Parts: sequence; structure tokens; C-alpha cells
Amino acid sequence: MTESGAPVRVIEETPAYWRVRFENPPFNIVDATIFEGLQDVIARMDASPSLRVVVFESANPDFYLAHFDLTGKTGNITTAVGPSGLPILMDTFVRLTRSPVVSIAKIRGCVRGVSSEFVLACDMRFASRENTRLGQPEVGVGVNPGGGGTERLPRLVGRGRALEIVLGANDFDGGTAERYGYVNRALPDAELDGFVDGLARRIASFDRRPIAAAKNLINQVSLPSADRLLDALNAFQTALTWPETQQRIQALLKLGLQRESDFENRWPALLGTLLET
Amino acid sequence: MTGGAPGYFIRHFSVAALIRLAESLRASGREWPENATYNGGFFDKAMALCESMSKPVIAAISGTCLAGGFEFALSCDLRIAEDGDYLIGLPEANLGLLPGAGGTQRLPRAIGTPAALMHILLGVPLSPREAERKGLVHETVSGKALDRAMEIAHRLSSYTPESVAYIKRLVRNATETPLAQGLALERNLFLKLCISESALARMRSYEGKNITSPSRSIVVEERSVNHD
Repeated sequence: MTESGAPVRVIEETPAYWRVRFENPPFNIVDATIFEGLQDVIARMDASPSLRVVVFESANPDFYLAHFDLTGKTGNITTAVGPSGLPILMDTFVRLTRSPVVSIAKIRGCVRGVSSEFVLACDMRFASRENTRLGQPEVGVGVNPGGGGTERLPRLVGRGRALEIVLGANDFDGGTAERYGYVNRALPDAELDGFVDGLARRIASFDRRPIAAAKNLINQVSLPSADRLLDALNAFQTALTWPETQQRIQALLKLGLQRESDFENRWPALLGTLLET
Repeated sequence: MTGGAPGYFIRHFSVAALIRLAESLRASGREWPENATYNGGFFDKAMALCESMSKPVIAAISGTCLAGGFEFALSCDLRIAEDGDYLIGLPEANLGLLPGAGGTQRLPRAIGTPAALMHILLGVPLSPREAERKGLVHETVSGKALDRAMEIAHRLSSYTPESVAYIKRLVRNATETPLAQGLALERNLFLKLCISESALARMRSYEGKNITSPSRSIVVEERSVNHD
């Protein structure tokens, strides 16, 4: 974490352009504190009339955001309700999509499950070509994606590729993610920062009202309904109670998930043989 | 509540059975003065239960919904129909009868006296889309009525049971209660909800996101002091 212990740092580059950096060591696991930070960031975004663009990035080049915490540190994010009337998890993503401010995910490292759903809720995604492991491994853990992946992916990549991503439950590298439309572009790692910063500053130079109007129009024809998103979250909650799911989660934790850096890096590749050992 | 047979919600009361009932009642010599008391049979009690229970009841009208079938739907809180080639309404006048299971009382309360008079006097049942336009159903959807009903049910089940129950009770009784009495009950139930754990938790969670309370979950660096 930062010196102050906060898992999310807001860097106000200009009044129109902020960078938001995830700093939740050791792996940037997505727990209640990350959502608390995001909720505060979104409230701050809502209250900043000069803001045009926010770039979401990570302080850890190996883990953009790892995945949903499986050790009971998710607090009340699936039960308490946020300002949109949806549970905090969904509220965070939905308010980001509806905000008049443009959100850009600048991706390096592992981005799996709920983290993939976070970048899918951002308006644009740019990934490191050499250093990206993006995926929805939930089905291999015994659950369905619950944070909007099943609703947002088909619109981006089409039905067949969405099913491959969700049912294959494996990692996608930057190049494949770009070809599928999972991310906007994959760039050589050395060029990623410059490209995203340039695009963000260019958008930040434009007027706020046409940005908001254009985003709103695209929202109208491309966002899933809140009811669909709620269905996914409810199904996810139900799946977490299944005994076979608990068996898979316990097996992963035993093997080193959320404890060992090497395992945390490569675990989706092992899901196909998880219960054989 | 929905229909189990494809194409039908609840079709209507059997006319053949009604003829047999009429013949045996005639033979008994009984008469029904206008001021005779009536306590209701099982069907009336089922409808009264839909209206009085604390949970909202949704009718997912999946097909033909005439006479007694529509009267039952009228006792539900929400009526969702699906588009299709079937009819909804109260055609009893065609047979020299009148809607005898609440239709003349519940339809005016649902869509107003003038519109109810037009519909019941003429006895011409409506297509699902027309029924939506005239207010006989709340929504007519192009997909399955049951899917939309489940969507609404999911939404309602995410709210607190107390607020849903109080809202149903207050709105259900609004037209039958003197205004001052209704307003007093509304304020009392509002305050009762307001101090409840569940509402407080929701309100705090909403308010907790307010920018005015600085949080330790983010730190902010300003680099823009020297910019524009």
C-alpha cells in the first residue's frame, strides 16, 4: 500500500486528467478496500466539474489487479447497496460506465476475473503486448463471472469468442486480446505509457459537454441493463455456495493462491487439472 | 402467477358448468335480494389474499385471460402480459351476465370509472398491446411475460421486505382511506422504516460515498498546481 495505507492513489496530472493507481500489495488482490477506494474515486470524479479523463493503472507491473479475494476479505460489497441502487460491486462498475468522465485502463500484468470485469467497465483498454495476462477464469474455479463479464464481453468480442474466454477460463496475452477486441490495442511495453498519456491528454483538451454527450449516446446502444447485471451477480453468489465450488477454491488456496507469487502468476493454466493432484 | 398451459393464463370460467349451476339454483327456488350479505367463496378468498398479503403479487399473463381469469389478474399487484394472438378482458355482457368475481369493482379502481364502464359495458376483449394502452395491464412485453415478471421480482427482492410491504399497503389502501388518515399512517410507517437497521445501513452506505467525508482508502497527489 501507499505510505498512508491507502490501496488507491489518485494523481491529479491536470484538473482535466487524473491517473488512478492501484497499490494493494503483494498482488493487488481485489478486496473490500479496493472497492472502497474506487467508490471514493468515483465520488471524487462526480464532484470534479473540470475532469475529462481518468487513466487506471497499477503500481505493480506483474499484477494490474489480481482477482476477487477468496479469503473472506470482500466485506459487504455484494450485499450493501451503492448510490445507483445496485450492490457496491456492480454499483462501482455501472457508475464508471455512466460517468461523463472517460475511463481508460492501462494494463500490465495479471488481470483476472473481477479485475477483467473492471477493465471491461472502463471505456477503453490498452495493454502491454509482452506483459498481459487477461482472463475470466471463474468457470474453472466453479463459479460464473459475476461482475458483468458475461454481459459486456459478447458485445465486444462476439458470442463465440466470449464463450471461449469464459468457458476456456484461461489467460489471454496482449496480442490475442487485441485481435479478439478484448482490449482496444496491445502496444510494445516501452510505448504503452506514452501512447495512453498522449491519448488521455488529447481527450482532456476537448470540451466536457461533447465528450459527455458522445459517451452517453454510445452508452445507450452498448451498455447491458442493470437487471442483466444483477442476474449475473445473483448467480455468482449462488454458485459460491455449491460444495464442488468450495472444493475447487480450497484446492487453489492450498496450492498457494493469494500466498505464493509464482502460483499467483500462472494458476489459470493449472485449472484443467486442479482436482487431479 | 402464470399460466401452466401454453397459450393460456386462466382462460375463463367454464360456461357449461355455469349452465349446470344456473339450472340447479333455479330448481332450488333460491333468490338473491340486493342487500344479501356475501362472505366469498374460495376464489374470492384467494383474490383477497393476493391483495392483503405483504408480498407483491405479479401476474405473468402468458395467454388467454378472460372473465374470471382477468378478474384474478386484477387482484394481483402488477400485471405483465406478453405479445401474442390472444385476448384479455371482461366479455361477460355478451352472455347477459356481468363480471361476478370483482371485475366491476377492481377494474374501475385500476383504470378509472369511465374507462371501466366502456370496457365492461361493451364486453369486447382486447389484444395484449391494446390492453397495455388501455391500462388493463401494466406492461406488454415482446418476450416471455414470465421473464419480465422474474426480472421485476428480482429487483423487488433486492429491497427490504418492510419497505415493499408498507408501500403495497399504503398504495393499496390510498383510495379507500380518508386523506388525513392515510397521510398520518404514511408518516408513521416512514419514520418506522427510517429508524430500522436495514434502512439505516442502506442510507449510510449511500452517504458514505459522499466526497465531504475524507477517506483513508485513497490518497490524492496534486501535480496540477503549476499547470494552467
